Amino acid sequence: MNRKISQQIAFTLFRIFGLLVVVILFSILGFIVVNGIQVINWEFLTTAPKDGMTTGGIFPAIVGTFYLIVGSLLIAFPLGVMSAVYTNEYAGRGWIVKIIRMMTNNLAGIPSIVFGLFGMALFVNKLGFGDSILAGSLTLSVLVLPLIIRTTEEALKAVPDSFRTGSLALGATKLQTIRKVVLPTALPNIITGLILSVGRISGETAPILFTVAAYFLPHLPTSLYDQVMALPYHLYALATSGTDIEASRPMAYGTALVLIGIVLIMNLIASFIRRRLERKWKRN
Amino acid sequence: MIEAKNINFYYDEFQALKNISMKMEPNSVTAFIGPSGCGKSTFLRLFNRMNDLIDNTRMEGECIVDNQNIYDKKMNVDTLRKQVGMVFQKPNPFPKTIFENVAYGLRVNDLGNKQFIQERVEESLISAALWDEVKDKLNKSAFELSGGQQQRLCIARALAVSPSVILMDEPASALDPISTLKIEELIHDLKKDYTIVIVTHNMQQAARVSDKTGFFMLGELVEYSDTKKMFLNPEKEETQNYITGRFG
Amino acid sequence: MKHNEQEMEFLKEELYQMWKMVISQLEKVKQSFLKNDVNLAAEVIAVEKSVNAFELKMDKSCEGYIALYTPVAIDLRLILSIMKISVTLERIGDYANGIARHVKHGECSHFNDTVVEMLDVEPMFDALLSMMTDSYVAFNSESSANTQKILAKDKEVNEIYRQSIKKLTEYAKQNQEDTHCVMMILLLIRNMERIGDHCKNIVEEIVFYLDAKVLKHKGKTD
Repeated sequence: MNRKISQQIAFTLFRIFGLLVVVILFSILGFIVVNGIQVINWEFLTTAPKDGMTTGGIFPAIVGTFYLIVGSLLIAFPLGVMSAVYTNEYAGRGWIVKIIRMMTNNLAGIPSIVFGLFGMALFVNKLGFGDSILAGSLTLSVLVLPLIIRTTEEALKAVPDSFRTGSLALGATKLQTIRKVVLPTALPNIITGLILSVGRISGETAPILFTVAAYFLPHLPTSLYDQVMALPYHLYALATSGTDIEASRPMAYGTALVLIGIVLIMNLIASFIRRRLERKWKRN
Repeated sequence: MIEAKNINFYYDEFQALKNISMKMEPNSVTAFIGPSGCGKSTFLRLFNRMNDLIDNTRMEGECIVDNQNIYDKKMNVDTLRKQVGMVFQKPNPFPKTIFENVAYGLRVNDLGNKQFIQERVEESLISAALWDEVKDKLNKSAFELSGGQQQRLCIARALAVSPSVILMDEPASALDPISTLKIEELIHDLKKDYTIVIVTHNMQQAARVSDKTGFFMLGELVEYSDTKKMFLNPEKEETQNYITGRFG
Repeated sequence: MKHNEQEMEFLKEELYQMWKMVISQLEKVKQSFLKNDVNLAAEVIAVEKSVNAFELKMDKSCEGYIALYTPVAIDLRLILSIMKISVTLERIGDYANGIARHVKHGECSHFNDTVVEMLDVEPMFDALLSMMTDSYVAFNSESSANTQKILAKDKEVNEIYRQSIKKLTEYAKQNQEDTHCVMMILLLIRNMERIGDHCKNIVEEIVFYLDAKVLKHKGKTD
């Protein structure tokens, strides 16, 4: 009897904490949606900010964030996947792999503001890219690289060894085996990693602070060396350093809503692709 | 023809095979039996150099397949594996369509144009006694097939690259009795075109499918003779004890 | 057809050949006895070696089949009956050989015509031959429908045998100079009666194989 009661108490506690997470998530989302939805309209999404950012829209920031996502993924994705393929498929179990893995883990633990500082020192100043999409994308890609490597490695580990031996036993080379069997099989899980990176890239403020983000730039970038506005930084600016903080408050909520919306849409697209790939090869 | 001469094989310090010499005739089925860990699978994997994939292993002796010493420095391992096909314990089709599974070996080895591949896939599926069951769903995922069908698909996949030898590592141990029978029938049919070497835990299977049987124990080849003789009148007492179930 | 089924067909085929060989031996022995044909008898004696060789070959094939395929149920019954039938056929061959030797030896050839006339030798041979052929057909067609008919034939043979003893005893009393040959003929008739018994055994094996009922030592009338 006693055991039964203590078990019930434990389960109830677990259930409460489990639900708590949902409650917190929905409060945040609800808060943002309720406050932000009133400013969302066509003009808000398609025009530049006006009147000291108290009216107008956030179009340049949306475009900027989009460029940064695409730019940093273009750099980090191939790099991360190749690195994971090397450590998981080629390198065996030697000390090199151990070091690479340790470094990757350490990289993942560094605070994002440090990446910003590093990006400014290397890409902006040393390499002379200036505050630019290029420098910002590079900085963000360094930031998400460990994430992509880790998730890709997990995805590769989930590919059964029997696929590899089966392919090698047919006279395929190791490279062919990786290209034609291992990577396609791991793809759905690699895409999961990609989804996580998109969320990370679009939400980070600190790394872009010193490397790309413009406080106010009403026109769109024309080259890789241009500065852009970005949603998280724009949100930060609206909330802390606008000309009239009270007047631009609704704009800030609107921006937050758009930011969440973009991440959500990206996630949906990616998980749609993932699910289709998975269904295609579902094991019975 | 396959010949092994004075093979010693080591995993680190552990000697898995002890001075094994044997010949396997072309167009025949040779079975290896023996208790777990006796070295029979290790021995099998020597012939397509699958043991190369395992770290810290060492081999002494000579393996000769079709008059070539396959451990010669000049030997191209990928070419060897095309020549010596392998079927594994668990069916391991790739996450591709049925057609692409069979075409895989041809594609990676750059064998033939589109039409040739099409014909070869059909031929291989026919040889593997699977064509009638899959001809209408070649573009479906291989995972939609049953376990037994998947294993026959893996056999078709191995046949597609025209090997001369097929190694089978307990090809039916993961299958139900009916599928097992189908695989055994298939082995009989394939014998006329290929040299087949099969490792099996199932002594009855060895008896049913093979022409010659080798009995391994503790890394040694205890007895190697005609299957009929081995199961009627084995020479060694160990063999008798093992095949009659009096072992250990 | 499955591989082990093919092997089994092969075994059956071997048995059929042996069967036909023994039937033809019996046929020839009948002719040679009735016509006192020494050459035909010699032929039978020459073929006897092949019949023996056949039995050894069947033995080996059956052993091999059991070792490799561990048959059960109907396959097991079939292989066991094949083994026993082949042994029985060989025995029948032996008896036929014995009769042929008697004919070839010729010491009682003067007596032969009397025997054929006095005893029902021809009907006895015919009964044996029909038992052999009918059981062959029963096995070949896997039908136990005619088995009772075949078993009835054995009773016929036994009856002829009993009558023959009586007749021969009578004859021996009156023709004492022929006692030796009467004894010889008695042995031959006895051999023929044994052939009948063996045919009966074969039928029992067929029934065992087909219906798995053991008939042996059950309701024997004599």
